Amino acid sequence: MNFSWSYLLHGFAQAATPLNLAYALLGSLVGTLVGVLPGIGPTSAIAILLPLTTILPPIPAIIMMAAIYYGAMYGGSTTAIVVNIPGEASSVPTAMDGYQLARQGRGGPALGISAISSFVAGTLSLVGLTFFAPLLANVALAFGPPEYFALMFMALSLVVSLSGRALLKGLIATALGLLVSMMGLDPLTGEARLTFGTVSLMAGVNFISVIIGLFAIGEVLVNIERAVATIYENKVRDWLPTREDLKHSWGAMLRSSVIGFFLGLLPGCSPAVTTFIAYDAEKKVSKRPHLFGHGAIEGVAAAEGANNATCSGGFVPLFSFGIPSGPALAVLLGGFMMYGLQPGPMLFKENPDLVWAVIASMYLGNIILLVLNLPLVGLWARIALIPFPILGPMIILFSVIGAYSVRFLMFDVWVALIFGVLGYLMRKLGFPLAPMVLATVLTQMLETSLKQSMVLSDGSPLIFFTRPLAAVFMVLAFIMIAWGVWLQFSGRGKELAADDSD
Amino acid sequence: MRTQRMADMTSGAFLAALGVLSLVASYNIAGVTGEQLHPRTLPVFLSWVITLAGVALIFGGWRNQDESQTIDWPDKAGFKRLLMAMACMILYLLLIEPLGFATSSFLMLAFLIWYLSHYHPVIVVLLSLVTAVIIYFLFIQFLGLTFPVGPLGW
Repeated sequence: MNFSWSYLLHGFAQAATPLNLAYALLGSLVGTLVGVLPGIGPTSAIAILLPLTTILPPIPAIIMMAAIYYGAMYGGSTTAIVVNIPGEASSVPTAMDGYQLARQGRGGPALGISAISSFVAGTLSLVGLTFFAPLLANVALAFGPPEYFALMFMALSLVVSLSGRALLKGLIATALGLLVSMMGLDPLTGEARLTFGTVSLMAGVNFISVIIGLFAIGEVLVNIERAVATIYENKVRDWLPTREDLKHSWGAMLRSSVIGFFLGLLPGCSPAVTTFIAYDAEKKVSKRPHLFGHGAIEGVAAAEGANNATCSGGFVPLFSFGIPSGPALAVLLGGFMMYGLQPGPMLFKENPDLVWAVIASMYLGNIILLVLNLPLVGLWARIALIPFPILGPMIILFSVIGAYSVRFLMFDVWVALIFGVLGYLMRKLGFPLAPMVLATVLTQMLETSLKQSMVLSDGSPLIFFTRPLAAVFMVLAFIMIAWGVWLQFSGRGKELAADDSD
Repeated sequence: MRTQRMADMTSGAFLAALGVLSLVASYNIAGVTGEQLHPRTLPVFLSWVITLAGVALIFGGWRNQDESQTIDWPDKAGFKRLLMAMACMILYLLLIEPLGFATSSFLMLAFLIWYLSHYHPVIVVLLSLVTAVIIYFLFIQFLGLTFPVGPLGW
């Protein structure tokens, strides 16, 4: 694939035709709606709409599906910030600070920063996609199972090391998350594990149910216990971010764009991983780390920036090698194939019109989404004004919809309820929620890459230290762990711990 | 479990017991010979982590003599509200399949909104009905999600 200004300009000319622009707008709208509604993620939305797009020519159809994908990433932050329902794992770090900000009456600025950060990171990573795709895709291909394992291990170490006073509890939450996700069948051998003879557990525990339970239902239970009148005790103060908010957030937007984009290049590295890494990296460099988890606007900026940058980064391996980096892009790949297009190096040679029109439409789509989302900030933040006795039961209803619609199993809804109670107890007893969520999300990939690495090395764990990239991640992971232990036992750790909780 | 100290010791004991249970279950995982990583290896490792961390939590709680750190448990009325809400949720989940998603959602919303707010029953019923109808048309009719519909087709 060679970059050429003429291709890009031609792409813009195509994307800006009224028809294609209309489909980008429609896709962005549907995507935002899909993101806001719990229970229907971008993957299922694209899958549902895929057959309907067959009436369209390939360019507007692919433009619309791509717009649904990144539109959903914009919308996904809304419920996380406003009512603490992270519909997917990548929204969890957003919820951790965004919801606290909303409770302080600053839901508007949190939503605004989320939209601006999504726009900045989305656009920056699109520049990366446009100019550096071939080079970067080669780097991504150098990632084998040992590198993936080391990366996941580093992500988990980061989250545990930031549990502050609750380092031991963070470790327990991580181990529990990993163990819960191991219930079911072994990914390689198909052996039943920890199912206690229960057929329902054979299919495993779905992490979306775990997230919905821990955050949404757990939070509702806390509010029911306190008989709160409104979900936020404070009145909504501001609708849009202040200059101060932007000052705190711009660095986070840039850093998370870089982290999100580069990690997004790795096939299989989902936004769930990159948002946690970007969030934790931001906490590490922040001058006010004590605010993280209590309403740090830069935390929202980092999480949302990484989320969108990862999405754009994921198009590099998809376009260059035909490798989808997640389920939503896998469905999009299906869409390409439906039109007889095979993503890969030949796609750029054989269908430059389509590829560059889609890339150009993504620039326009980002602008459309910013224009769509900023005026809606006030509307979403107004949900705070609904009395809790009405909002609380509705959150339960949406949680049930969200948990059920992943696999259409009542078992998943029960899992959400059980984890709701667990989330309530974890809040009370001082166990951090984030390590458990990340562990639950990463288990399968972590385990699969570990097993594949062991096969590659004939059982020797040295493989994680003899391959340069893997070794770098492993060393970083151990540094994080040592740093966390040092924090725990040093005076500074106690200082940080005073403010640290989920 | 009013103090953090007691809470740590109690949760540590619970986790240690859970770890032991998980260890027993993990050692029962069958496997194929000749694998580089047995299916039971990671569950066994994690079970040990939970068991030992649970013991460490008991020990940490026992060493922590600070009785002033308390846990913000609910009062009697708070516990009652929690239990009622939990019972309502459990009943709701039990009714989804036999009654249908929209009907059971209407009942859950009506009861819980009334119980938490004590609004006038007419307002509660109207609010729940409108929500249930919107949810039905949006998720079942428009988005085509296959929720249980029950005998009424709702």
